[in-house]
Amino acid sequence: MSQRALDLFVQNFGDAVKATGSSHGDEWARVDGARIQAMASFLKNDPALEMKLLADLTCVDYLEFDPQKRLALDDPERFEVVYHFASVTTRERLSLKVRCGGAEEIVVPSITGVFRTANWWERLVWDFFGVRFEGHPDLRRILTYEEFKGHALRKDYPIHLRQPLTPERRVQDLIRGPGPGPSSLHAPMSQRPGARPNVKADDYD
Amino acid sequence: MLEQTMASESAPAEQDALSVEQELPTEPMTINLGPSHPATHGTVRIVAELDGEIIQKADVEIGYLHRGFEKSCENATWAQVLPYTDRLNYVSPLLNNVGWAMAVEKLLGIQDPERSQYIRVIAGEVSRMADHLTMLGAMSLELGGFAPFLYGMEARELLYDRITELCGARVTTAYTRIGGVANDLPPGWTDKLKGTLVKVAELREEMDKLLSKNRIFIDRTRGTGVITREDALDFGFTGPCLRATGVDYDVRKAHPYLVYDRFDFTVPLGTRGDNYDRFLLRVEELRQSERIILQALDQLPDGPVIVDDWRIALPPKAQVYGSIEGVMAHFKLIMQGPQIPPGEAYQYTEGGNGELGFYIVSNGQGKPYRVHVRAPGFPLLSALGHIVQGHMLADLIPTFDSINMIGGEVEQ
Repeated sequence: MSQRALDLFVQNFGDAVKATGSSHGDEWARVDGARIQAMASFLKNDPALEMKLLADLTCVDYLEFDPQKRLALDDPERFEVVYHFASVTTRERLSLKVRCGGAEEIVVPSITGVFRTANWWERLVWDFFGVRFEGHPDLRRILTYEEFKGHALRKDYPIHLRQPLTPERRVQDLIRGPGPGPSSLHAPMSQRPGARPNVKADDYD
Repeated sequence: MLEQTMASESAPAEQDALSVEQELPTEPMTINLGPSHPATHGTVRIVAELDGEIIQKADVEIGYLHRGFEKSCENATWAQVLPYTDRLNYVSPLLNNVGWAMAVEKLLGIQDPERSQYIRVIAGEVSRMADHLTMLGAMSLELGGFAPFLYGMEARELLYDRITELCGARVTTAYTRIGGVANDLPPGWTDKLKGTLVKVAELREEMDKLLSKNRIFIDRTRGTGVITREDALDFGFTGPCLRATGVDYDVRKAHPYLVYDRFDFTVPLGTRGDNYDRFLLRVEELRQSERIILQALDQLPDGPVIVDDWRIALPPKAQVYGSIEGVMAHFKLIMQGPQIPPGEAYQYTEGGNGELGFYIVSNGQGKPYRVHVRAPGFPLLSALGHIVQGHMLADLIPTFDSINMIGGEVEQ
């Protein structure tokens, strides 16, 4: 659908493009994160593309994508930040993907300087995945609170972990959160590992 | 003579007042709006730094309604996610249902039957009307007009009655299914809907008359909350708020999905990008939605409303109770959910407030590996601080109304 846009993009950033493809009619390119600012600026300002709308920015944690082979926690390609650019004039769309990860702090350059809407999306990704956007003017948590420990959408964040700011009242057999409970199926939900009394947030991270 | 003395006496007094003002120490005042201020529909906290009545800086804090939508989806089957989507934009849940079902269908590479597509369009447009009516009513209420709010709510409830007949609930609809919709239209429903549309049109025109030529309303909304075309795009605006600045971008026209390309409707555009334009634009969109629904009802074809593939859609009850294959398919779908092949897709539809996108990743294990919802209100709200900066505090309220941020989807 937007092959023309992808070709134009590859012509200009051929050396930084690692892979390209089309999934379900949407073109994408996996690129080198270090040059994402220049790429975003090119897509926005090139008169033939005019992708003035950053439709979406999100992240995926590929830790458990392959059920047979779990990645290491510090895998350099564990996270993938996904940018969806759109043009309101040519109606074309293009996704860019940046792989990141590693043992140290995970850093991707911020594109807030190019698209102001990236400000909140990057805060959202920082909040839930812990990907730090270099050059972001105000990288705070956005949906969770300052005292929150860890990053909730990482695959190694336990689903039943609770981090209340004030102590919660103990309610027997209350199932909190979605999905099946842990393995001990016949125990009440409140006594299953990782479920109810687990309010010691400091144990995580 | 007397006049002269008075004039000469008042001049130094004015100077005194000026000099006193210059000497007085002044500092900006910080006030909190919310998180539970009645004028903030959901639970948003706005920390505004004021110089007199002028907002110097407004910091918007969200997250009070966060309930882990995306994490929840990653731990439920593909079919179980559907009811969660009702809670995103809780004013127009059917549009979320349609968006989710279409995203999964994109990943599966299937298309729902024609009749189902028409029903989705009708249900979606009814929902969009309810969404716009709520926004118009709420905006009027918060600017002091109680009567138009009641008209809006009455019209909305009439539409909700039809939605209740369609799927059994006002807002927790969960009406679509992967590959179609849950059930066909109830008997006589289309005629009822046509009757409802007439009543809604009356109430809409009444509201329009009461507000769009109302001096107080115009003074509060015209020229306030202005955003330019460039800024709107830069901030990721879509939907009515973007079109109010004059950008012709509606997903229904730009990337027609379902059967939207078969209907004759126009996309209204604004010129100034202020609160008044956003208001008028929604009134006009109500008329266009009505046109779409009437055309869809005329063209509505017969046929099945869900795909005949037992790996995706539940088999008919007669088959479940009467055949071993039916029981097995039913059991597998309920216990394990439909199996979606590995891949990723970003599906975007026109929601009540703009582009509603679902970015989903599957690893073929029976559950969504990653679900991200691109809530249309999220970029809109992120620009609120920019829009109100340098304007009066009182303008914050109509601006907050007209961008129509919905807590359920923005805070997930």
